[in-house]
Amino acid sequence: MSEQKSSQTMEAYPEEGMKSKIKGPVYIDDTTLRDGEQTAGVVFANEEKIHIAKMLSRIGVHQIEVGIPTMGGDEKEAIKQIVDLELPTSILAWNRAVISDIKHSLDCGVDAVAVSISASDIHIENKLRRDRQWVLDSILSAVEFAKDHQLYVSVNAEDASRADPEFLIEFANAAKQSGADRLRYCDTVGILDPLETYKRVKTLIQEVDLPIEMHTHNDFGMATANAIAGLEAGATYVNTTVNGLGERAGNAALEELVMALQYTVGVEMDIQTSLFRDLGEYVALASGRMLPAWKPIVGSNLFVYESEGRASGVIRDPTTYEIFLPGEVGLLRRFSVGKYSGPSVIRRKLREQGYHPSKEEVQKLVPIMRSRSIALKRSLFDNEVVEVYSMLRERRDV
Amino acid sequence: MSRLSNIRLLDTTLRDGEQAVGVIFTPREKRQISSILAAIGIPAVEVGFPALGPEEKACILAVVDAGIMTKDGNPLEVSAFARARREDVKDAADCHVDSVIISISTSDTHIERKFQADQAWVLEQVKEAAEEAEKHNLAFTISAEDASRTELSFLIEFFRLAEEIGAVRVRYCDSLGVEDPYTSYRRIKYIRQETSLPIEVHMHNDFGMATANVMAGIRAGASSVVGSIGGLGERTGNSPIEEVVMALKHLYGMDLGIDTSQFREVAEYVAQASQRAIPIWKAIVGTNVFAHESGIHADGILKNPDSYEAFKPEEVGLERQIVIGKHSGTQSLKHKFLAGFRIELDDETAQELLEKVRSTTVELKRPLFNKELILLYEDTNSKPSKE
Repeated sequence: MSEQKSSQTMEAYPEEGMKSKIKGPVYIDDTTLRDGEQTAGVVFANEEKIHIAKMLSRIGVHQIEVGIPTMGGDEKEAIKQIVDLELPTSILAWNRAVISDIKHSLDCGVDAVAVSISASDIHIENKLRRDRQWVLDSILSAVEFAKDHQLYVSVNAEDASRADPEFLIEFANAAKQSGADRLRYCDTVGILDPLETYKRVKTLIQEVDLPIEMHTHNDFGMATANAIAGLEAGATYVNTTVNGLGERAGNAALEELVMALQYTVGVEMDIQTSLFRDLGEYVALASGRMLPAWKPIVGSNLFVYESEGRASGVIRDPTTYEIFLPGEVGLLRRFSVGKYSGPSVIRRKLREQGYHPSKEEVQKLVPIMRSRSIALKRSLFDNEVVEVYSMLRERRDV
Repeated sequence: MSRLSNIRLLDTTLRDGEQAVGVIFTPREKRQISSILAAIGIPAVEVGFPALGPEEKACILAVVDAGIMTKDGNPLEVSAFARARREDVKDAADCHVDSVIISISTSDTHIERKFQADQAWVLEQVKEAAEEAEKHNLAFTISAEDASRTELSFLIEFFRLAEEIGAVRVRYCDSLGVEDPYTSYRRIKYIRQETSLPIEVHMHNDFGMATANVMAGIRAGASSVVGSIGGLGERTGNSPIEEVVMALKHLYGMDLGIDTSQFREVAEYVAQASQRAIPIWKAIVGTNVFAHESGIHADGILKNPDSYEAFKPEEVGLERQIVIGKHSGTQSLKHKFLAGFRIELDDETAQELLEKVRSTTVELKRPLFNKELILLYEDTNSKPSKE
């Protein structure tokens, strides 16, 4: 990483003004069933693929990327079955920029295809062992074939974030000329930050007259933020996965993106967010990957209050610490007594259990509960809290 | 290659990290984690909240008394958290820490609904707490809780007061993780222009943007970052310190001189102590981050690791793996058999085997073990001779 590069990136920032530039609408193309399943070790049963497709359609995503028909066998069968459901959602299949791949997609009856090919020299030279012209020719023949068969076509610029910006424009224009409907900008290795993403996507949009889709990876923990940065720069589609499932560190998470757009950026999204927790749990089970309790938006711990500072605020008024209500994503608010708990949580917990401790009793309970929790190296169960309180009462009564 | 950077890191695994529901560290663990952090080059740690009582004070003293030195031979800066109250600061002073974080909410929502007070009261609290710190000769940071939901004009007033009363730096907290990177960038840039103390950023991950917001803060001129190992912290946690360090190094070319090759091990220790497993897909330190299964990716990786890797696995203490599963291609199968079993597959066998691998993985719903691969191979190979 050269001195020049770092100073160049440090200067990049969006124009001033506090308001979001996203005018909406934002279209979501979910790829849990393709990039999500491509994660090392993850395999969905066909029945699971079908169920996930139904759920995604129900919550209101606009397009579902269902898989890779050219893999044949079970994969092709699952895709056909999803198409047969006739969901009110576009069904997209993934292809290399190869006509034989697209023929497999046609067999499945999908209405849309992604035609994917690398845009970076590092991929073109090392992986494909071809040259730029070969890439452009491949786009042309594959897209023309797909358009001749009335498919909606997204051209995926794989590794776009490491491509020569000049060539990327050429690449995008080739896609446009061959009749593509949109261009997917892939930060395949997850190496962008939001301000850099903004700058690059903005430049691309100025040069190319095609709708842009963001496909971002989480290698440095910035997938969601980068996807939003692309939307701020004018992209209109975004490729997500449930729980951020995806290769390596995963993709931009559907639930994070939707909620961040609604609550941090202020874009209205017509999505059934109350199903997020259910969907998250289903995909967690089907992918064999537990949902961490601290997972943004859908983690089971998000609305659990233990420390005094937060609990006392939320008991007075949930808006002190909650940006959206737990029910909005299918979660519940809970209180838990632990090392950082103070009078508010203890009183609250005892009341939930049907007790009405006095102020003095609560004050006495704070250090006792704290010591217990420290000794046990965990939060206390409700019946342990009640037990401690009963012991205190008995001692006083004696 | 990289230039050294003047960004300061402060790890709060032991304070905000421990505040995660259900997480409690023992004194030994607090001391151990502090030592490990110092050994990889983290210069400062926030170890706890002394006002909690005698057990916590003992924990903090255990760290202070250990006299921990960093990798670069400097004493580890040990910091404690205090609300803006005289007694909290006094509790911190009792623990002989090097510095104290004096924290109070600055947003109207918190001031009105949580404290049922006003802005003047907030400023008064901070002044008194700072006086107490002065009395004990304690260096202090003034922290604005819920800064991201605070009116900028009051935030500036608050930070200017911090300067007048002798704070070392000010902390900007996105306590609820509600900022997006642009907003962080714009607000912090403005604060940087209007005030003169160094700015520290403390970002939460509620919408999955903690690291991105830290990076935006740094671009806007913040010079200190609060993070935690694995992002451990309240609710969805903080910005993971390993993500910030690696992003600074590989995206901005800023090398903080941290021994990143220990990241996996540090994360494992904290995972054990906090009883929270590291998800295999955790950015930077998850075991699956360098596992490649899909034909296209594995093929690219085998030809040149740079195809799909932003940095080498050894840099964070991980290993590269090629997994054979539903999405594997003939190239990775050939590689696996040659490297793993010294069997050279011809194109036809590889193709036939691949189809079997796919149907078997779908049936089993998982990748295949070596033994299973060999069985499938024997099955494939024996057929022609039988016919």
